[in-house]
Amino acid sequence: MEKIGLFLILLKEKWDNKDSYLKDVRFKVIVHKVKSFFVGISIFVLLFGISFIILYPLLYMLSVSFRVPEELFDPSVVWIPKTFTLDNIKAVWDITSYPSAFIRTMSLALLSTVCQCFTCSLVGYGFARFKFKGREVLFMGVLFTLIVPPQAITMPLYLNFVHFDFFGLGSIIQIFTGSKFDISIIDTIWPSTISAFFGLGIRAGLFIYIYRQFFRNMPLELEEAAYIDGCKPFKTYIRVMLPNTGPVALVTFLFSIVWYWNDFFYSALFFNKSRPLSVLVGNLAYILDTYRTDTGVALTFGQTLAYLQVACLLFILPLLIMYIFLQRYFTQSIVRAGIVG
Amino acid sequence: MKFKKRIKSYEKKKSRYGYYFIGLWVFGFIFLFLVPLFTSLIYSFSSVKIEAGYVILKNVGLENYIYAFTGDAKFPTAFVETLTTVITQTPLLIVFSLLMAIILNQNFYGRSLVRAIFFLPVIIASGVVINIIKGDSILSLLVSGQRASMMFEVTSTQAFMQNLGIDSKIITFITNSVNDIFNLTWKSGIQILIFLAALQSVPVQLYEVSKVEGATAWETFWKITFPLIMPMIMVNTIYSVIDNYISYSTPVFKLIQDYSQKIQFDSASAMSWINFIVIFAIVSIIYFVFNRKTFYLTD
Repeated sequence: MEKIGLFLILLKEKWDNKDSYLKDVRFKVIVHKVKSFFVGISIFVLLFGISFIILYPLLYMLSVSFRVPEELFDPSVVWIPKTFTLDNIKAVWDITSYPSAFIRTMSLALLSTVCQCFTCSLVGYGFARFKFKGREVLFMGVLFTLIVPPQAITMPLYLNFVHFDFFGLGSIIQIFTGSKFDISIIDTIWPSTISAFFGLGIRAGLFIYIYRQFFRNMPLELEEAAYIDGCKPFKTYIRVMLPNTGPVALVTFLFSIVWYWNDFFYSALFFNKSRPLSVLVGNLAYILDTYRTDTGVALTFGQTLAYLQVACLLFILPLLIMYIFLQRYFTQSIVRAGIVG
Repeated sequence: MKFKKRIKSYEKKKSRYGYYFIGLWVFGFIFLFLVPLFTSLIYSFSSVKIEAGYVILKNVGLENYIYAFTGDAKFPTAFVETLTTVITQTPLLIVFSLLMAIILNQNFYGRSLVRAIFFLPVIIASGVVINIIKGDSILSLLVSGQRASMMFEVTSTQAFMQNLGIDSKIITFITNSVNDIFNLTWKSGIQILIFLAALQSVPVQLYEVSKVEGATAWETFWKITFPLIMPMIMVNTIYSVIDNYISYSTPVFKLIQDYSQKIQFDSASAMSWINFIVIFAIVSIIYFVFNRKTFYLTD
């Protein structure tokens, strides 16, 4: 016993006589390792939890879409459906006439996005590199378009497009031909395209801001070199500036497509009869209700739920596919576009 | 008479091109924005009747606005509800996104996968799908009293806690915060992205210097990171406020949509203008509050 006691006393003396600096450091290293372990664990739990919150609706959608509706409330079926069926998808496909709606929405989104990329880039360059009178005021106007809620301008805009006379050209023609020249372009993709082309697409002000920041951060020497080589501003823009806008153009393109695809407000406004997909999905509850009274086939509660989930899935599927392939560009391009600082 | 050819300076010649470049936008701004805006302003001050496709206006002054606040049954409650929701949710949203961005900025295994997952809400929640996920859009089911979304309902936990005898106020508080996390996560996609970009734009040398000088992580955050990302905090706050206010699920928006479909343009215009004035006031307040405190690294 005394030997153990002596041994312990010896250890204690050794421990006490050790260089206090080393003792401190070793202690701190151990504490640091324990701390970072726990921090790591809590971060992992946090991230896992939030990823679950994000992924759960998607998995739920996937699972419900392939399930027979009666199994929706079956507690024994958690993720994998017992009976695998494609009936839900077929039913929603027919109700919403998916192919034509898809093509319509896709053409709308693509055309408007391309117009937006084109215009916002031009306008951004104009605001960035040229000092003209009223530049600040007009840029305030750009930001102003972001702040104004769209509900404030929808009704006059709708009336404008119902009796669309090409911004006054129609009335000029009227002077010549004597009859009013206006056409209704509601129900086509043209209202959105025209808005995008003239710099007023969805969140266009944001893109103009991003482009302006980007062009501001480009070195001035490039343009001076181009000027010395004899380029007028337009040529400078096309030859020198535009090839560099890769990341920014990608950001604009991706975000714009997502916002146009998902947009409910403007699509519901500009389309009455042949509606794009976002409006169809948004109104699906009403559509399902009327379907019940139209065809006399009663939809059960489970069926309604299942159809809604299938509709959501079909709706976001193109975006998801695009996202899976281009995900890297989404997250990295904002950083590289240099909109910050 | 001989007119001497005036030689314009290079700057003046160049500035003319500026007008050409933004010409498209100015045209659209006037015709597709200012004109409808002022027309809607006129609508809000008058009573609108649509006959045979043409609009007949009659000036009634502020009657529409007063009616919106006093006469209309649903507008005051919807207005207050929207306002309180936006004001209380935005700080939470900013703090949450900042926290997430800081975590996502660290180096760990599977970082790109987590970033990919975190950015997913932007793709999905920008539109109609989020309503269906939350179970908002099934009217018939709301009427029949059944909740249509079985996701993230904490009812069983609620019952459990009640059985344990915990005070009901705490239960409601916890339930609301948990439901809030769902909302926050789905609304914070773009904010996280912007904060991530902002965090990566802080010059690394500052961190190295602070480490050499022996600053703790807490001090580093408050003295270096936080002041330098202040501009983006302001941008994010303004963006969140606007986004939440214009979103499709606010009660005010639904009310305006109702009125527009009933072709009652005057009330709808008045309400949207009230909306707009409120948003503008909030955004200006945020802008002025932040501007005094912001510090720019390169001015």
